[in-house]
Amino acid sequence: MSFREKSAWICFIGIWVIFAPYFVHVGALVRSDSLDLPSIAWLLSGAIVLQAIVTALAHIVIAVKHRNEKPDERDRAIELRSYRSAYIAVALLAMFIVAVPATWGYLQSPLVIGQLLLLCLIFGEMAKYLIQAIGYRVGL
Amino acid sequence: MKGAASIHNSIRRLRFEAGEMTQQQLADMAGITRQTVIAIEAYKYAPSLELAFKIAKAFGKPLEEVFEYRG
Repeated sequence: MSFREKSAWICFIGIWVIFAPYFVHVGALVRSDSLDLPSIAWLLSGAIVLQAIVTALAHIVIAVKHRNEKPDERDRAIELRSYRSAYIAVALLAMFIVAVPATWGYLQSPLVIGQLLLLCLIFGEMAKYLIQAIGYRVGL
Repeated sequence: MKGAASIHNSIRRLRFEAGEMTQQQLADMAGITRQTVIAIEAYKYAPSLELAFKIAKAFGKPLEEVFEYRG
C-alpha cells in the first residue's frame, strides 16, 4: 500500500472517528433545543484540532516507512477523480439542504442550516478520501 | 478501467529479460512509485504517453515493443 493510499484511509477514518460523535452530539443539542453559538464554536474547534492532531500523528508514523515517495501521475489522476466525485456529492447535498426547507416552508435556524452545510462538507471530504482509497485498489 | 485493459504491455516479460529487474528499479528509472508499476502490470492503470515513453526508455526498447493497443 502506497503512502497516499494509506493517507487516504487515515483521513477517511480520522474524519469518521472525530466527526461522527460531533454530529451525534450536535443532533442531541438540536433535539433538546440547546444549540447555541458558543457551544458549537467550542465543539467545532475541539473537533478540528483533535482531527488535525490524530491525522498528523498517523501521517508521521506512515511517513517513516515511505520516505522520499513523491506523488506520480497515477496519484494525481486518482486524486482528481475523487475531487470531481466529491464535488458533485457536496453540490447535490447542499442543494438538497437549501431546497428542502424552502419547499416545505419550514425554516430552520441559521445555526442548524450551518451545521447541515458543515455536514455536507464533511460528507464530501469523506467521499473524496473513500473514492481515492478505492481508486488505488480498483484502478482507473 | 476499460482504457487500461485495452492497452496491453510486456513489462513483466521485459523486466525478466532485463536481468530480473525489480519493480522498484523500474519505478526509480521511470520516476514513478512501485505501486504504479504494479498497477500498470496488472492493467489497472493506463500510463500517459510520456510515462509510456519513459518506461520504454528504461528498457531501451521502442514504445511499440512495450505497449500495444488492443481496442
